[in-house]
Amino acid sequence: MTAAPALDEVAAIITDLIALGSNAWVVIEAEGEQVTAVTSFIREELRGGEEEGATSVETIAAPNLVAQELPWVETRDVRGLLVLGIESLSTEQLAQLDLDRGRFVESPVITVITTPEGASRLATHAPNIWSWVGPMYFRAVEPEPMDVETRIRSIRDELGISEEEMVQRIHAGSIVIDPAVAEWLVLIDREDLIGG
Amino acid sequence: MVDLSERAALERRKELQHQLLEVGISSFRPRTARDCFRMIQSHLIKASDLGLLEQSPAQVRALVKLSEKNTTGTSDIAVGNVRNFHRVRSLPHFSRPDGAWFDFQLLVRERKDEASIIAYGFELRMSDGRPFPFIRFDFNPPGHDNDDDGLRSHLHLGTDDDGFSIPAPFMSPLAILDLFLLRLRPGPRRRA
Repeated sequence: MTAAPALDEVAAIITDLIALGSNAWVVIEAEGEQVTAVTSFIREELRGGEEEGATSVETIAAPNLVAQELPWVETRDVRGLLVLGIESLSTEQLAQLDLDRGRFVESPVITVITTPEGASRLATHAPNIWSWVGPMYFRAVEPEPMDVETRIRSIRDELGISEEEMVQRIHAGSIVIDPAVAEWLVLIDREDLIGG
Repeated sequence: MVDLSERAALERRKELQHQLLEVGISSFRPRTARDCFRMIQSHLIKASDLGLLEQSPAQVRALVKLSEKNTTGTSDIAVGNVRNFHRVRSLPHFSRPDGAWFDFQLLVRERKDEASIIAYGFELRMSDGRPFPFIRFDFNPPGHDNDDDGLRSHLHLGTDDDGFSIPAPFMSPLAILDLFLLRLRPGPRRRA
């Protein structure tokens, strides 16, 4: 596994692969309870790329990859597939997937989102597919959000008043709600004091 | 009849503000705050690729921050984790190869299937010898009617003094970044 880029970076990598018309395999490993959130995050990120004209991405269940009819053959405009449920495939299905890998030579970019066990089973029972994945194997790391407490402190220190005083001043109409004050109010969850 | 009273001037300013805000606000509608964040991040990464910024794409990703949504569905998008009130260059910012540097902050409110920007501040600072040391586009949050001074969206040219602020249109973050990245620098005179 390569150094752990955050999921938005992984999505950017997938978007680039799709834009290049690549037939790459990407594996994102997420703990069981994370899989749904990770899938939804990646789908949204790729959809953002889609608005720039780069991608058309569909989500499919893993058994469709081993089905006789490949899901993208009918719809040539699909350029990326998110595959869920690899962890539920049997050893035989994984071995068959590996044997049939030639079918994927002209496939869209395939992104497998699976559990650590699913990734391990894919690596063990479909070693040729796994070598296709190569460095495109990532652990799901959430992007680091804003450090809200630090941001709030920097505004509070500058204005030199406590939150209580600010609220009083707003009620008294003695402070202008400019972008900095508005930012503070949003971050401390007192947006009710902003109009609109 | 000519009316140069404060009250009449305020009415004219409010009318101008209405014209300046109406088109811009309705034409920039990201689906979510994250969508808006992604657009800004992609714009800056592209600028990095093109050499318009000194920061690498990885640095762009690290610099632009998105907060979690608050309970009313609003998020904060900002450069760095500290608000730079005093133009301290050691705080997080983006820089152009010519030495100009900038940061920004905006609030994005999500409602149903779309999001809208309710406030922003984008400031570009320039080195000595430029016509003004900084330029800032401010969009104040919506106020109550009696706070309306007709300057919700305004421009600061080299001074924080509100007495010198200039009415400005609502601009999409990408349009402001275009100005910061591609213009607001010496250029050929178009007319003698």
